[in-house]
Amino acid sequence: MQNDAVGQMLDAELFTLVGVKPDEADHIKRKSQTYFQDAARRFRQNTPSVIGMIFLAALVVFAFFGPLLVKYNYNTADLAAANSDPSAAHWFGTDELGRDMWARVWTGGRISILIGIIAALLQATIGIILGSLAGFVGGKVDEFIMRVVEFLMAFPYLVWVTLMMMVTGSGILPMIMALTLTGWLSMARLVRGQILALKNEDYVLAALSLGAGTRRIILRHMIPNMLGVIIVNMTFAIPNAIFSEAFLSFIGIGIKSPETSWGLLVSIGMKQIYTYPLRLFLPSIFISLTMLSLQLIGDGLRDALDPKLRH
Amino acid sequence: MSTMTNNILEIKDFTVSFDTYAGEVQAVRSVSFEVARSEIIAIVGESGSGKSVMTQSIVKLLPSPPARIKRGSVIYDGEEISSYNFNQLRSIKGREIAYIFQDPMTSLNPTIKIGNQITEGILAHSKLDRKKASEKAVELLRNVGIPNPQRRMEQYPHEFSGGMRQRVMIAIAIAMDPKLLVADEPTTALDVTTQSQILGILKDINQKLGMAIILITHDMGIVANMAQRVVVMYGGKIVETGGVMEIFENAQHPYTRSLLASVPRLDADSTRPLEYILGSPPDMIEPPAGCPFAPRCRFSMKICVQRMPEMSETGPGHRLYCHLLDERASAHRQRFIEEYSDARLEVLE
Amino acid sequence: MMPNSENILEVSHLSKYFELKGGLTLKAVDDVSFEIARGQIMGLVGESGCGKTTLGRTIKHLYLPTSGSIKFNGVQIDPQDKAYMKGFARHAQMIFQDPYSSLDPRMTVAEIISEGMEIHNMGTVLERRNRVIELLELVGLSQEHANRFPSEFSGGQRQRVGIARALAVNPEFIVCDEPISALDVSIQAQIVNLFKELRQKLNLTYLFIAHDLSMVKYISDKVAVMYLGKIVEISNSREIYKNPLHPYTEFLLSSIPIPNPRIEASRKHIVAGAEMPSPINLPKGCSFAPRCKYAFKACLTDTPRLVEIESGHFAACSLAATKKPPE
Repeated sequence: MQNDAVGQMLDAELFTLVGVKPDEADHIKRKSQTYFQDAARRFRQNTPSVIGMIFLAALVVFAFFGPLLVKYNYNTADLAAANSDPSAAHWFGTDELGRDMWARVWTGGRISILIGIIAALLQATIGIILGSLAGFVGGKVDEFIMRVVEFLMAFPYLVWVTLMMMVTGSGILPMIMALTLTGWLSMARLVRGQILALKNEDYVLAALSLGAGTRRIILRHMIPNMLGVIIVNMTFAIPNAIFSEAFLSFIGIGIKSPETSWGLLVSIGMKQIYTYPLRLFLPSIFISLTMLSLQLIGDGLRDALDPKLRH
Repeated sequence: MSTMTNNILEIKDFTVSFDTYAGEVQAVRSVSFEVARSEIIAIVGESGSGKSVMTQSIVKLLPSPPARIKRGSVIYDGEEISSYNFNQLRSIKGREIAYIFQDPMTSLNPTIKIGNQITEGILAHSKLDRKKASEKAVELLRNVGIPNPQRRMEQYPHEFSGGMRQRVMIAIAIAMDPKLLVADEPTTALDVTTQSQILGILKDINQKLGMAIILITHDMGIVANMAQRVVVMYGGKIVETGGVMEIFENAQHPYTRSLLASVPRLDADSTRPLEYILGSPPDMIEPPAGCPFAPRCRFSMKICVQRMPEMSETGPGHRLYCHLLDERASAHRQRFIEEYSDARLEVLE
Repeated sequence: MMPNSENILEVSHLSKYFELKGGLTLKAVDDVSFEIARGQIMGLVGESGCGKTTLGRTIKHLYLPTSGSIKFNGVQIDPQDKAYMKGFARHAQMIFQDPYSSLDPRMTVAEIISEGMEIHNMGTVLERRNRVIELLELVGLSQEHANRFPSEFSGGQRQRVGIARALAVNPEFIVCDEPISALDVSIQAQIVNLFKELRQKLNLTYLFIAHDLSMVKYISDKVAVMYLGKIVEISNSREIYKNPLHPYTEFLLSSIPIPNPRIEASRKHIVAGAEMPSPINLPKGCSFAPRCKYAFKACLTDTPRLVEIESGHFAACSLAATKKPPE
């Protein structure tokens, strides 16, 4: 009897009115993720890119801390220990002047990587400024800048850089300058293209409609939406710069002694390929690994930052 | 091969999900309905209702992964095709069941002449030689009302207007005399005057060729104009099915009623406010255990939140999934009926 | 709702032409004139290519007019007057069609809504933050949505953010460019009701541009029909259905299916002869003549002007003009 009554009450309970739940009706269940959080997640899932990151991290750590691990200076000669094979005392062996190869390779790495990163950053800055100007202002300004870009692009990049180096002279700073002055072209074109595309986006029109000025449109709306492609382009610009430095030093007009770089080490090592091949292989392998890692990272970033692949 | 059933298509307990990084999106949940031969049936639903996913999954049109047909039976012309693989389905796609979609521009190859696109389709599915196939293509274009079909055969898609392209799509679709045409929002991207023409063509081919049509739309005017039966979907489930008159004049589901009352009518007195439904369609990643419409339903009860209602028949061919039909909900049901009975629209005449 | 007899907008012989490659001219908007009284909702309908979006954007001065004049609150708009244009950009707002592209995907909802206030230096940071919450609630969203990104919202919710953005700067007049076309049916009703509510609360005036005549008729006080760059009929929303004077309006109305199967079964839908011509090379005379079932010879040479046929009911049609009661 009692159970029936309870049963009935429970039943009736089920049929009490609940009605519309406005909070639930508009509630968003999924966690909020910014564009970069989402990109990071996608990047993490891309195995080759993650491997690239690990390698690059290792290379950078060694480049900056490697030389500190040994007591030798990269330039100090020790003729007594000249031409020795890798041993406990000299992990990579020594060169013909008895200089410790470990210190030389990693010090050289520091220079090469630094030049790569700084040149890429400066190239990006100039490229973004000129590209934005061309894309946003349009008209004669655009025509002028694009003609300059096309003219410069008609010549092989390395020819340009070589010519530039003849003007600036050799050394780290002149090299960075030369690389910057010739390497901004692809970023400028890319940014200009992006701006032309973004100009037609409805949200830019909406900002104009609110009364936004040019500066706000570019800084607030366009650049953040271009960051993805800019970052990817920069990631590929670094290995290009590293390679250019290696090439220029290799042909003797880049970094010169007493400074050292991977390119210079390759140049020296080339001459000893039949006698002491390790001196060629070491810098070559590290140049290759660095470039490969950056390419893998760049690929991964491009996929991760592509807004069309979101969700 | 085909038993003499009256239905060209029968779907039971059909369930399709998508596997995404965020979880399983349960796009279609245990859907059952039939399409009779030569019938025009409208599937009405808003975004997220699952209508497109369901109709495309019948012949496994969606890439799998991420789409996954979890279970269900699909009987086409008396034959169970849910377990067919890609090759077995090839003879059905295009020849037995044809599809036309919203945007004809993406379905047509912009670099191939229209004539060739139609002819290729015919050649692939039939034993005609090229000359006969070409003649048939011209005939098809003429049947869908394209003037100068011979000349039009030699043109490219971009030389056609939106309405013309959709006619071409229809021509391609009916080339092999399919018994069932699935038209997924075929006129949504078209102007209303063009829409009127396209709908006329569809009605024409339904009558002349006896082709059944599943018409997916969100426009209740199109439903009233075209359909004989209506299926209403929400949140991956069917909430109500019935004949078109029944649905428009005697809908029993709160969602159907709200939907009908939220549509502005040309012939109505503008002073009567449109009803609107608070909130947004549900996220199908964690669909609620109960009726998907409950959070937005003015008449929802505790049981609606907990449990999905069973199917009830409220009239011949009129099926409903709603707890209001339960005798214990009679008080609420009474209110529901009263609220909507005096909401008959005034017609200006 | 008695609109103030003052006109918030007076458009006079407005034209917007685009020069195309090859010396052709696209007359997107051609000699258009009308007024909107304060507090009124004027609907503007037409099919694709009729120029309604261009008209809306030209009024808002996102495009510069080719010729003609626009008076806002009795003052002629001078595009050269930078200070005035900034003020105009505040008092006249726009709501866009595509909720998926009209919100910057990199900005949070709060940032999107505050942008207008930042541009026009309205309030302190704290005041703006409070106003954002106030606006979110006004459009039926809530504080929890403020720090989320547009991609997390549904179409209807995004459109509400767009409305909040427009309202943030306290405008008087809003051009709504197809604000509901991209939304689900039940959400359309939601948004349209929101528009009506806001008009009451904030004494707004709208130009409501859409291709769905049923919805336009529902929300508008008066309706203008556009065809190939010209306004062919203006009337109040009741009359436009009961008594269409222009053959194009009649054609349009007959093509719209009514959500009532009994009525639909007995209706006859008019079929037009030809397709709509390209707006680039318009035929001489009345641009609808080639498709008009009532056309007579004069229609192919004379371009009819928009004249008042009955009180408040205008049409640009030689045939309709004959129905005008003599002075």
